[in-house]
Amino acid sequence: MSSTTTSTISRTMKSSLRAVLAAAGLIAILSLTGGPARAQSTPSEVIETVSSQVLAVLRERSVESSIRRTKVEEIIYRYVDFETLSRLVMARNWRKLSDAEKSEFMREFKKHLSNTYGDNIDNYRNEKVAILSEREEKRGDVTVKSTIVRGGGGDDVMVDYRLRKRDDNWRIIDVVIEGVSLVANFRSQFQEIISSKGIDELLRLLREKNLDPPDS
Amino acid sequence: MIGYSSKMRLIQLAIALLLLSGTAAPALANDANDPLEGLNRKTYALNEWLDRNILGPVARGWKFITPGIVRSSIQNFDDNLRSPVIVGNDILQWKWRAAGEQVARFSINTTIGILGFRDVAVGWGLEKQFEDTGQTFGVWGIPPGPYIVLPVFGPSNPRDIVGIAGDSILSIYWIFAPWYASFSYRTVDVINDRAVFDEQIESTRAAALDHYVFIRSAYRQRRDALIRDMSAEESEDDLYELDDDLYDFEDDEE
Repeated sequence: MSSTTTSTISRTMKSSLRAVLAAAGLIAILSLTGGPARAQSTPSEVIETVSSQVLAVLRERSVESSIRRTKVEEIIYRYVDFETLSRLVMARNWRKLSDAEKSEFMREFKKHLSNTYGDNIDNYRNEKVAILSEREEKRGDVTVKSTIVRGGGGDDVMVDYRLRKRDDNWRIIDVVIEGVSLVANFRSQFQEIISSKGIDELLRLLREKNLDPPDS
Repeated sequence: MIGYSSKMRLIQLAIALLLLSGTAAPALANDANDPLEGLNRKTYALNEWLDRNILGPVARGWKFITPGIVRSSIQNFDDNLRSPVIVGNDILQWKWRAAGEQVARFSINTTIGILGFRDVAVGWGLEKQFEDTGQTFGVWGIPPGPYIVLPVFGPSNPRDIVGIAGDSILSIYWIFAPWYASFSYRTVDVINDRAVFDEQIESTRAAALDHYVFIRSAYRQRRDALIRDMSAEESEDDLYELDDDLYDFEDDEE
């Protein structure tokens, strides 16, 4: 046993932990998205509005968490394009779904995302959001780059929002935390469940998770 | 824990896998590349058990008895000690400016930041860097190879396992300290990190429908992003294409 071994062991663990942190951000960060999409707002303005509205709710510590949770959900529902998000996550499997299955999937997936970020609402510790830049992407999409500035010596978290224009409004279709995309992550999970156990099993798993939301 | 000879064997195995993976067709960025999934899932289950029953509880005890400032100071101290590895890899990636900045970070944080316990440099515009030898291999164009879950240490791949050897060489502390000194310090470091990320780890467990795939996807994406230094790059796969557009040109699939 050498000291280099122990140091590299902890290196490997740290890099795994960072990957986990990045993944976890996917959920936490959903709580920083949402707000009424005014026409003519630029993508950066949308993210700015969403962030400030959500942060305002999170700061009201005297308000009961269930009420704050509902408020945050309302903001997010206005600014996230859940239909596009669902279709991107399902990718090629989307077409295999019946219309009933499609709407069930959208409903349950939205609920699942709400539950998981909702549990993080009380973890808010005076983080601030800084919008850094905007970048044009393929398909007319725009990525807005931002950082979440954490107080108390914590590292900043890089968050990219991808927006797509629909009905004249920019809405969020993906959130990328420290390089980890929500769409890509859920796509791999759902792809694996569908290819090994089928679509019915995926829908059953989602329903089961939603009936028994984890307590924070 | 892993001894020296078994570590060498691990590295040999990794090199072999790396060479094999080089001959395979280039995988889509979204492709799982997980031929050892059966074994990996078993190792993952072991790691989860260890985390739930040993590391997690110990870390929560640590979190209970330490103030947040102590935990972040330990993180800063550890990041500062990594400076030689970061500078070495900056140079291997021909990023001389970043190498210079890291030297400046080390100098500032070791002195004004009191032995590295405080990250003063970041307030002066010298950003924290995340570099390791596995990333350097990625910058050189070496593919990661198949996903591998290591017992105790978690997600990895042949490229990153070989990278561990590089990190060992670039880390110079073994000259100064006996292994047991390093070992006790590293133990604190691992527990401290686990405590810092406790909430996030718990919420990934709640959020995932297949937590194994969640971690695998996050690990691959995070490593790719680090290799690009988080810079903008349009993904080459079909991540943001809607199904309708996909089928326009691959209707005959299946």
